Amino acid sequence: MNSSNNNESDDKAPTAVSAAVGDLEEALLSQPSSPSPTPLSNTHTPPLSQPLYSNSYSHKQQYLEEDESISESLSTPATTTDHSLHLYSENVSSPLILSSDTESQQTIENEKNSNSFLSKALAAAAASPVDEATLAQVQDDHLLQVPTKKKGLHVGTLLDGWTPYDPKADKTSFYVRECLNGLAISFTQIPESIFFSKLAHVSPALGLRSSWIVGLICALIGGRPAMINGSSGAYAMMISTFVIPPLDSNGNGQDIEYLFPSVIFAGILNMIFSFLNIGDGLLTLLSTTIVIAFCNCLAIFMANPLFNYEFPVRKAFVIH
Amino acid sequence: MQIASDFILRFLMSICFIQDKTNTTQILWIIFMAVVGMMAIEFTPWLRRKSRIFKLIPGALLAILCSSFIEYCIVRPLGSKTPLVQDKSHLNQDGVIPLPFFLNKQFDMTKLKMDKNDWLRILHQGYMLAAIGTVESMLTMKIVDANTGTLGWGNRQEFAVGFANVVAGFLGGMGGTAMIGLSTIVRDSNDVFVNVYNDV
Repeated sequence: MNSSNNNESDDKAPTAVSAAVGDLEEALLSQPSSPSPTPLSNTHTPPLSQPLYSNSYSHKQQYLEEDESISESLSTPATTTDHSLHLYSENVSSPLILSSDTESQQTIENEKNSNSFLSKALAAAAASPVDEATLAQVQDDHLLQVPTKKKGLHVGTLLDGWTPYDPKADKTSFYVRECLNGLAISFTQIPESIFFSKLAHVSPALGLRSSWIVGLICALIGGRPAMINGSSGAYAMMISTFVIPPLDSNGNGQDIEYLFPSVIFAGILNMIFSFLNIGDGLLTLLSTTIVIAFCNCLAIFMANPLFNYEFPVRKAFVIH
Repeated sequence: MQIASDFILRFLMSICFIQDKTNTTQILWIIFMAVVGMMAIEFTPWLRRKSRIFKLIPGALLAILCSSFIEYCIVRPLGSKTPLVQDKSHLNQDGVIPLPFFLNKQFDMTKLKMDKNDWLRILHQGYMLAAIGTVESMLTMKIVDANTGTLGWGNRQEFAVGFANVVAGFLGGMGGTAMIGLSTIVRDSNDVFVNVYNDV
């Protein structure tokens, strides 16, 4: 991509953490062997005039090259003492630097200039590779980064997910691969939907029906290619608090009649949210730690009824 | 010796969430099929480098084909049988054609009196469903963005989920949003990742 855009956005980055990490990454990436010594930046803004997918494809390739350069620098042995390394890691993880004001940034820079010991340690750490823990952390954050392009209500065209990312790719193999993926997903979605409908205390027909309806409509007009929609675990967990569990294992629970108007109202609320720019706003607000925490909590809540009803832990310890 | 083997089998069964209607041979067959499926997913990049056909076939489909081949060509002729989805939950053809929920005779619509309490309950449930659906779809979208290195449109996805929930609630479904597990399975389908596999 154009490196000037990246440099500008990196200069505008307000946090001092990104500045400190940026020094390190510049020192890492300015090796003579690395082909693209552009610094890594949180705020990447591709121009909207060009098509998005070609942009993001080249961006991905650039990311891969940067990863290789980082892994090369990881393999080189460390030469500095442990004392400076410890100081550097303290400086990265201190909560003071998280302030986003320019004044605090200036004060921190003044402190850097005044405190010769810290500046020496920073320079030593930037000149040579640091210990593996901090570098691995930097690398993980960088791998989980997503380029952000959010300027108003940019919606894209209807045929965005229907063509391959790479315009040079073979189209017949692309479509064959997509159809086979759909076959595999349909095979795996049936037992998952039935499990979720049992978790939600409704009959399996409801889960299967909503799975094909939601999947079809979101595949036709949705905004994210390569994402599967259907009757999901969070919905099932929330519905299981509304609906009283049934006596028959395959039947519907009590108070299921209240479910359908509430699902319709939830859909109307979601459509209102989309016009209030809440979807893209949440995307910029949510951090990776929230993603990890949500996934773990969902897994625990989904495993809980299994432990209560179907988990034969007593049978495992009783031998006939 | 028999007691120890029985204990180990019971422990494996409890790990795999299998109910205790199954026999010992069934448990062994299930574990064998699971191992074969995992190996099939693990070695798809290796197979893709060997022949061109495997570039088209995703790893999950290969695992499903392998396990169903074992089931219908090895396990069934030998006289055993692993449990199916049909054994866990019986499906009949009553709910195949979707009807609007007030016309469906499975549900007793006379319970809804549309009082103030009913309206409050419906609004409360709908608000909670909308909040959790928004959060889950956006989180899944962030994961898919990080996996593919491309961008999606959050507001458009939000509108699609809302419209789909309106239709699903009208036709008597339980609604839904993005699924995290299947979205991580399907990331094979992108060109980006196929090129990565070819390079490695």
